[in-house]
Amino acid sequence: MSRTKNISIFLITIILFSVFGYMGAELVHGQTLSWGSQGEDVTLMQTRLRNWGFYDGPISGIFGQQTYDAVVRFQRANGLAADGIVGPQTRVAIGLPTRTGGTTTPASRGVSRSDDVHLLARTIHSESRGEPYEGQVAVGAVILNRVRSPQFPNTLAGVVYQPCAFEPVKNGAINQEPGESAYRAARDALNGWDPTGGALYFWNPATATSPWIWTRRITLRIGRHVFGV
Amino acid sequence: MNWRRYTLPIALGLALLVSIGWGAHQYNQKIDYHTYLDLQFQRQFYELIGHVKNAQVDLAKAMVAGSTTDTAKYLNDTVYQSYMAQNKLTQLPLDHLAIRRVEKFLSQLGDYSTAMVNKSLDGVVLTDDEMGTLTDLHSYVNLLAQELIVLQQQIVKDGVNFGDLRRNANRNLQALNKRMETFNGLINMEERMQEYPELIYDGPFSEHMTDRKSRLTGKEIDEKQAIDVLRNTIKEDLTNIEIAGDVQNTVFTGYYIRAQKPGNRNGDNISAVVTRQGGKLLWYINPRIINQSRLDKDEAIEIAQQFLNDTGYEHMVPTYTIAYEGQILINFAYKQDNVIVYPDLIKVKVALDNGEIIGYEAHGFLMSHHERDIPDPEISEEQAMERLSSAVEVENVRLVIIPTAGDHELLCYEFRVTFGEDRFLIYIDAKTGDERKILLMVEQEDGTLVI
Repeated sequence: MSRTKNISIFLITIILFSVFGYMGAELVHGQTLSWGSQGEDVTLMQTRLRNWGFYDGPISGIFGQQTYDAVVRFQRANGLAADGIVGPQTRVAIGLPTRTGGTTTPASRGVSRSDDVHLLARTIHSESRGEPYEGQVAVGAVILNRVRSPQFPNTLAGVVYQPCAFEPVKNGAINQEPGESAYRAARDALNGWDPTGGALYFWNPATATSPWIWTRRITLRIGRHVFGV
Repeated sequence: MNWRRYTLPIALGLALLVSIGWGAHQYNQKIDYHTYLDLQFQRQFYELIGHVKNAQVDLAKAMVAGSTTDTAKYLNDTVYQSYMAQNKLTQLPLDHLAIRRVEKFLSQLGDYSTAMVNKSLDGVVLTDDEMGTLTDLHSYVNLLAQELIVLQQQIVKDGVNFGDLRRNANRNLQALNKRMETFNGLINMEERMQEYPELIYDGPFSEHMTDRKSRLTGKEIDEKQAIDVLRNTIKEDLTNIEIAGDVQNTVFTGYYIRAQKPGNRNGDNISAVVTRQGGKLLWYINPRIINQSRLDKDEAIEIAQQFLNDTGYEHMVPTYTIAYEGQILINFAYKQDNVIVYPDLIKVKVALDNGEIIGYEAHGFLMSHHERDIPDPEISEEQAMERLSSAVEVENVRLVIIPTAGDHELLCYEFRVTFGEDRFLIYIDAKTGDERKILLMVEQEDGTLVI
């Protein structure tokens, strides 16, 4: 009897730990900054608040009394609820990144582009695994050309997640972790390499089902893919 | 004894009950998700209609507004509404190929309005032609709004299920096409739009920018000469060089060349394109694995500079660099009469392990380079500096030419300034003294990025 009891206590402890562990992880990556928060976002916020004259303490990366007061002053001045907690609205008002995300990209990788690189690399990986390297760069370039084109959404996420546009988005293959060459290809595409010369479409002649796609003018063939405008 | 006989049936019966329960639960969950998805799509559809209607109203207001500031205000709203409408439309599970012209129209409406906003903000009254274009656009967007409202009524009546639409799209095209009949209004709209001429304007993302002509001159070369160009530019051992294809229907047509490089991992072939006209290397990629870095930034820049000189590009100055994963990307711009010409851009990538050139991209340079007739600035450096905010500290100033939307170029003073902890580049028009652009420089250990 006492043995089953021990086991249940043990199990309950494990369950509780995993629940708290999960919540803990949520807090670290969550969006709300408040008294006691630390990290890059706090540094960024302190810098902004100091530039705007709300804060005159040190840029310490630690949310303390002075930071709290500064946040309250900032919230009052901007018509936000002056609670000293940096929730989603205050976050936007201060101009902090609104998605901290579960993946921790190294801080030295550039601010606005690290998200882009990741999403682009995943798309490239799922669309053109096993293709020659420049074929992967080309797929990345097509996606970026679409972002620039008036016929498609104006953001990378808009283009990638556009319904009926990419097969891997439909079947979820896009969520796989990209390989190293997909990352390099994504960076090369973002840095301006475009093997396709401005193509907006690519397809695999062996599997393409839509007759419409053949009305496009072909610019180049690389590996199994055909690129066109 | 008796109960042994029943153990198995009871166990199986229980298992059956459990799986039925589980199945029912899963089914309900599926219905839930399906409904949720459907509602999300419905919401986007209604929002789309809302944005199109608002764009129509704002555009009408902009045309009757009395002052240029009011015009700018309403056009600004039009820009926002049309981009939002396009955003919603592209997220609906409609066959995006069938409605791409509608998408393009919404985007162009936004672009054109942006261009007109900028004019109005400068206090310029719109010309009759521009007003005419706005009127045309207005009649379009009006038509689109009406079409969408009809569609909305149909959907309410027939109860189109967007979730089903998506599912059928996954299964087969036939079923999708049948479903799409409901959206005939939108597709007819598409046909009617074909009758309208293409818009000509100076907005960003505009179509005609992709129809630009290159300034490249020279004789057409053949395949053999193209391979020689690659060999002479990339002075490295290349084996199995082959013409792997043709680049067509682009600004630069050319030969697509692949080759093996001794020492590269199997499959890591190098590739390049040499233009047919003039025989210039357009781009080059060597995707080899890079080992531990042994060079620093300055050494890499020197190597890249030497490479450009050897290739025949003189007066190129390094502007910005970014290093990642053992390689460094260096942007070079052309310098004429002490003015940095940013549109004439060549990018060179150097491997930091042995200083090999592993990437090259000259699209910008080949596209726009010519000897320019650079005018003298009409305002002095001091006058330009007075346009800056008094809060910034100027570190450096130089004359540059920057590209602007619509293939134009502007002579500007480039001020490198600090404000607080951040550094910015501010561009002041050397002719009018207007502030043209502000870039935030994000400096990192591995290079400088401008946003």
